[in-house]
Amino acid sequence: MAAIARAWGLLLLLLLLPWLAHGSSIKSVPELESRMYASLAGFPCVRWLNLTGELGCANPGHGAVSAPILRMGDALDSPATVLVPAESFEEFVDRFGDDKNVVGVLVENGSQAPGFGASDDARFPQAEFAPYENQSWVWNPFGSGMMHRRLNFPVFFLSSPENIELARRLASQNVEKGSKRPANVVEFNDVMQTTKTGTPTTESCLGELSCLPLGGYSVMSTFPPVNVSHPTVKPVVLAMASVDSATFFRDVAPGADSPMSGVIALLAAVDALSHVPDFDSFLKRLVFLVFTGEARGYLGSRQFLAQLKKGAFADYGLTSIHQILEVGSVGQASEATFFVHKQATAAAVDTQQIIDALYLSASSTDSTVKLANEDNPGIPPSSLMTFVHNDPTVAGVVIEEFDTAFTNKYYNSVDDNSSNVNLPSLVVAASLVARSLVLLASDNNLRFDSPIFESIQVNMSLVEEMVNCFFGTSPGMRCSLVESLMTASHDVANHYVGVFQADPSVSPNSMPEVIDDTTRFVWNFLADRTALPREDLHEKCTLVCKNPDEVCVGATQSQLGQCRVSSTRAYDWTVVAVEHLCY
Amino acid sequence: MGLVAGFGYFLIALGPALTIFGSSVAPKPFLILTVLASALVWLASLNIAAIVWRAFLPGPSWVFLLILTTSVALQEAFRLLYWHLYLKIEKYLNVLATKLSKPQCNYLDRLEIALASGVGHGLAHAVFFGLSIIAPAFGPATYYTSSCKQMPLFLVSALSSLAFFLLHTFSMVIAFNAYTYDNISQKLFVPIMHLGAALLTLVNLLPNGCTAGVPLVFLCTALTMAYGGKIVWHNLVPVLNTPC
Repeated sequence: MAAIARAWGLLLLLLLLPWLAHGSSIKSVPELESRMYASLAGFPCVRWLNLTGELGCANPGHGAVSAPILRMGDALDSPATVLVPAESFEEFVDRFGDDKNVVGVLVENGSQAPGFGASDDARFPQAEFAPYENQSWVWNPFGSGMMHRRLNFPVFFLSSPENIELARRLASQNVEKGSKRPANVVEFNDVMQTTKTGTPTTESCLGELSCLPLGGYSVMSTFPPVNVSHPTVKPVVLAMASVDSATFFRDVAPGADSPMSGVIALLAAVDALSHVPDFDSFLKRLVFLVFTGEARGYLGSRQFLAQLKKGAFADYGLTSIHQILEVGSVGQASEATFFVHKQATAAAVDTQQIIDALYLSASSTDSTVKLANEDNPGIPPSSLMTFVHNDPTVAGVVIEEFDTAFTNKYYNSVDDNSSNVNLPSLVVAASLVARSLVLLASDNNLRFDSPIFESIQVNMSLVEEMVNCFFGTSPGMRCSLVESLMTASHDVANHYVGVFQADPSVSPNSMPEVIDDTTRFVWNFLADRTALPREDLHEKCTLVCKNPDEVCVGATQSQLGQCRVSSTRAYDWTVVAVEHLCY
Repeated sequence: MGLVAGFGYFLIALGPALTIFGSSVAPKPFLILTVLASALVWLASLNIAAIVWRAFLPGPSWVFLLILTTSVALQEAFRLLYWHLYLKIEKYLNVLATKLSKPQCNYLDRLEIALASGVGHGLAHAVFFGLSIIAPAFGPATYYTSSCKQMPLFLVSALSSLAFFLLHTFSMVIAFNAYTYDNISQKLFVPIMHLGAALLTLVNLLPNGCTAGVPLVFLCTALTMAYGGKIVWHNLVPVLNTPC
């Protein structure tokens, strides 16, 4: 009985307990699990292979690796994941890149100090493709060369402030506890090995099918459109730009100034030219080319030339090239001044015609065009290099915003975003390109004070919209300009060239999901602007049109496209030797 | 820690269960059936309590008191039911034994069935309360609650399951003995110990409470085991082989 009385006493005491307790409670096992794990969304640095070996980052083995998280500056005496600000990343890799205790790195997206430049590329990007001997010229003074290094640990880029805040909090908790358990641990699943061992170069891994080749689709459009069955042959003026960028982190490659500003200027120029009447009567034909894969070994331009030589474009009346105008980085020109770069070996008369056309256009658009400094060894890194290699006398120039070295501090960098370009520069560049192309196409038969010339107006709101579509996040590629022509697969455009997984013999026009959003937009845009004027009874379509002269333009998820007469093609890959396809 | 940790916690919770099962229950097939039947009955009781209380959760913290008290009361009612069910079965078993010219069941058999029933009850508790919480422990991470920095949540859960398993196992032995000999203090001992242990788990809610809560529940278990042992020792020697 006494025992029972004591038990009742205990019971009364216990009744008080719930009110004394505090703290958050877990309501279910899934909630428990969500408190144990947090996922840090980040962008990886991935493993690349080239002819000679490996670049980039990956887990050292075939399994996930994990280590407690610390901040850069904390003592590194045991395996750890290090949280590094972007500004200090290069320094960190130089000092600790070989340290066995570095299991993985998280890079914080920092607020860059003004004047600070961080380019991941080399000081002479892709110097090995230069058609001249001086390969130590510094085109890219801000280049760290980081993207060409091989690291033996995973690196991820944290861009959102919440993730950075979380990572910092976990790291400081670890430091407070010292080495006592439990520690906050980061696990990396960046297992990027070729699927078979012993294939560390492109040749071996492609042979063994244990890796994927880089590649994509470039877009070619003739203006005005060609009758494919019997094309007339006219001298061809190529206007070209490139669309892909590459940084240390594969998926963060906005490439706003370099190279997308060139594409935007070119597309705006095409839009302006589409209102010029009687282009058919001009003596030369314009061909617009937007390459991809240029940042990774000039894949697009080299493939183009290879196919050109094989006669793949004879159907479009394209068998040789008369003149080339390449639009390079034109997004941040100072005081509307652009520089014309040419190779000393270029054919004098034809090249001078291009330069004169540019001078004339500049005088009519309130801008300045200057010839690049004579001390330059030659043309800057550009697709034109491929053409010069093929034929040193080719009459080609590159328009750039810089003279002797890049003014773009963020060439091939995660920070080359919309704040790195400005509208006035783009609009003036587009004007220059449009007017120069008209002069060239008319073979100087058009006087610069002719009403046609004066009427070429670049649509400023189009340029602004393109900047928002290509580099913005909302609406990004869901903007009305893009939506009117196609439905994008992703909300945000990324300008990494991508891996080529389709069967090269399949026509890309029949598989729109295979082509990346930006290229598909360029294709639709060029097809729309270069097509013969709309008539009322155009056939509706989803992918292909019966008439070989026609292509299906503007098919989206919510509307059918129209079959328009246009010679715009995404040129497909025929079988070419493997080492040319991948970097 | 992964698999090692997960299995470790599992064995902490149910290691003795496996031992008891292997040594005392497994050799007799009827006892295995008893374990299963008992486990199902007790799982049903827990489910009924859970279904009713799910409607009132999440709620204020004093709800815990109500939940615990009513659930323990429900379980003790089930225990009485179980006892009456057992009497019926024993009658049928004796009829069967007579037909087959086998001896009738005696006090020792009753105790063994009691032990097996208790094992079933304990297993039901461990599975219901312990195993789902221990499941995430098989992954690479662990978890410490803010009120218990000394032990991972999984260890507290595993130890708690162990304590309650042993408590229930031996409670059933005491209960069967209590109903057999109509002993009031023994009859009251089991519900009070059960309620006491259940309420003592609330101590874990206090900051650093797990350092006291877990040992206190084990104290209840130890008392139950000691009491049960004493009863069995006291009763078994003189009444061995006496018919029930």
